[in-house]
Amino acid sequence: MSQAASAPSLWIGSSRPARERLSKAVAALTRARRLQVLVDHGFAGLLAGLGLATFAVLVARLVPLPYPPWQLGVAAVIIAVALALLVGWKRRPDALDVTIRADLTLNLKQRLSTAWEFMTVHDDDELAERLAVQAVKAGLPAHTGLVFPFQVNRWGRLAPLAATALLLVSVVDLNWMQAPAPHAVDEQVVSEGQRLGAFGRAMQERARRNQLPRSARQAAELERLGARMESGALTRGEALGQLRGMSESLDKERMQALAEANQTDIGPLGESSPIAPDLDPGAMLERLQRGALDSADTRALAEHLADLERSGIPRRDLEDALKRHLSGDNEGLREMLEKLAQIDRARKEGKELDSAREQVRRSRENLGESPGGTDGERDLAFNIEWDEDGDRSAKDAANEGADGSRRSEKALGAARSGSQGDSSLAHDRQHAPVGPDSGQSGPVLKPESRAREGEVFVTQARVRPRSGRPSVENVAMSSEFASQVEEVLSKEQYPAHYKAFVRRYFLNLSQGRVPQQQSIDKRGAQ
Amino acid sequence: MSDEPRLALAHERLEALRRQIQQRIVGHHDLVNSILACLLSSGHALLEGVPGLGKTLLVKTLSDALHLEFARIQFTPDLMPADIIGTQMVSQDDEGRRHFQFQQGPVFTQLLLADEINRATPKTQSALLEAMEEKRVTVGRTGHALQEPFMVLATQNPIEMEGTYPLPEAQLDRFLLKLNATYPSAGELSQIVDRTTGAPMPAVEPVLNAGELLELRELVRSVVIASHVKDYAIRMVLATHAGNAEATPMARRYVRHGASPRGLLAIVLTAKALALFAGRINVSFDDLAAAAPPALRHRILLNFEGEAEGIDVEDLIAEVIRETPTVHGDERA
Repeated sequence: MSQAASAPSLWIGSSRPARERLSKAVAALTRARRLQVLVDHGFAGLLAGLGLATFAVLVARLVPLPYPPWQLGVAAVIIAVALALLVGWKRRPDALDVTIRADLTLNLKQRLSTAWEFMTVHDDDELAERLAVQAVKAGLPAHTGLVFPFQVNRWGRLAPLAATALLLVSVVDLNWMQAPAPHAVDEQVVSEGQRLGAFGRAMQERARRNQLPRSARQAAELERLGARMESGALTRGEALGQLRGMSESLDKERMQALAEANQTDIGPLGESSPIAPDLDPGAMLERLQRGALDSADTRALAEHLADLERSGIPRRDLEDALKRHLSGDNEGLREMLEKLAQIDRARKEGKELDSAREQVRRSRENLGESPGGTDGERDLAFNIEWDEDGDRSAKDAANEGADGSRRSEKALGAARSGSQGDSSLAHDRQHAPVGPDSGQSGPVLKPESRAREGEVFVTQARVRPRSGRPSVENVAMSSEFASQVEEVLSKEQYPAHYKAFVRRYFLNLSQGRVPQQQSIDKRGAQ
Repeated sequence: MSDEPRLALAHERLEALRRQIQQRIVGHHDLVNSILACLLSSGHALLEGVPGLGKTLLVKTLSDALHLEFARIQFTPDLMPADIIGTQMVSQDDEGRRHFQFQQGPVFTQLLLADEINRATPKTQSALLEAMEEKRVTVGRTGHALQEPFMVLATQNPIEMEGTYPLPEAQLDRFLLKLNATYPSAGELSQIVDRTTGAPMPAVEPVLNAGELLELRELVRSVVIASHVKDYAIRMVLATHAGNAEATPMARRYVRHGASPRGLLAIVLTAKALALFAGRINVSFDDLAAAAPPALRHRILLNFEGEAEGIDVEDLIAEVIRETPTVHGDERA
């Protein structure tokens, strides 16, 4: 500064340490300010994260999502805080700004900031030295916390409110927020909801008893889903959507449970079979730790060496561990039992989850979803129009050859394709000529069949009325036809009621009302 | 000067000057401080106050405490410019030849008291313009330099407007500071009574000569101002401009003309003097805030609405100080 450079020197003598002390003080203040900025950003990120988490949990509870609400919430908070900290880390405070703040906070009358500016910007060393001495004499802050204290900023003060909102959104019953179902209550959905809810409760009880956390979680989800279905809030389509999500979640959990057990390097696991029916590794481990493992336990282990080897425990290792146990060294046996307990728990988890998945699968089937699974497949599977004259693929199949068994196999193949939702066939069927009564709707049939014990499956198929004489005559089937039908049916994966339906259909065909004609009824192809 | 700290010495001299003034003047601490700041800033001051507040006494006391030439001009309506700056007189030398000779007026002094300056006509008032700004007077074709240091201390009475001529804006702008003399408190009044109605007042001894005063003026100019502090002063001045983004709400509504760049210089120079008084070699935000009212109050012109509503410029300046953030982009600390 020229005016200062040419001005008469002030009294302050030269002392190098003043500038060094000033530099150190400013460096410490800058670090403190940076930390404060980070903390401030952290609080802002926390508030934003809690807000996002609240929103995410709310959405997850209102709309079915593939992730549990708590995972979404935690992820939102972590991501928001991490981003805020990153932004805070990149916003390095300016040293001059720091000194200005220090001046204002400590009422240093701008001594510090002026000295710092003249030290760093201007070339007048003498003046800078004098200003530094003046600043040092005015009193540098003993603790940076006096200038930049760690304090909860306004964002931090709002965070408890956001956390409370998150907590409320997580625990409060949100059913009232969902619009009342505009649809009629689907009794089948309600019935399945009751069944799933009961199963979920029982599963929860078992999971708690056996200390199976994954199963307990999934059982709670299942019970919740069952309750919603039972309440009539879900349409059949919505229920199926949620059931599909539940299936995927169960699959994932089951695979994870089994994978965790596999990490013990004890070989591949059987999926859900118990290690041995009368062997409880967890109880044995507890007894071993208490020093109460008796000869009956060791005998049981020795008797089940083969079972244990199948589970991935080398027979030699176990024998060795048992020998060492008898000689007083329990370490090897303890490790074996820990591995066995882990495997046992994973298998129990797998078994429970498998059972739950089966229940969900049954519910899906009972609600009308085909084993194919997707909406498109289900729609195709349950909207088959069983017309007599219009199926071009069946007609082609009938015209291709005279061999009955080959034709019947083709027809069965076509039927299978239809039932499994082959879109090309469905497309052909939709656009094929349907004869003189095309466009008329016929009576709705509701064939019922027992899918499995205790379950009733209801499906619908629309059959077009026959008009006049068939264009293709029926043929008499050979005596081998029934066995061929059974053979084919045994190779295919149909729902039980489909299998019965197809069998009945073809066996009826085999009676041959018009024996002199050798063509196959195209309905068989469907 | 020896190794003795010059700043400490300056501080000591100024304290001595204050003590001398306070022997005769009761109260008016801020007024005295501002006059001393004006003195050290090489400026001129306009003292405004009702009669009887001790304005003239203050200036006379100051002159007594300084080893400076002092002159007083009582401004009246019939005062002519030549009565201030002097005139050409016909004189005769020893050989009988006659010639014009410049007879210096009272302005050729170091400390000039222009008492009741608003009673003279504008023509006479303007005779001081050149002297105040350029420290010289021109008579005919000849310029005459004034002595250094030169300072004008003018007084005026704000209530008796009959037969007065308010100072034009250009003249007002020449004054570094406009200072208001206020009524003394009860305690101060008691002291005034004791001092003036009893024993004779103690004599004031000069404690500062012209050379020392000039050195102090240099010292004031050596006080540094950091860029962010200077920025604060600039924003304060801009805040008085109605059309500027920094303008305060009152300034936007009531101000016709804001402070001039000379106003900014006045603030900074006065703040430097105040910093020196405080023993600092740097200007602080507080120095600027303290310097702003006397430096700006006579440089802000209210518009018709402001005049009609009786807006007090002091309130406007207070708002400027209050609303202008010390650090740009930050809230007022």
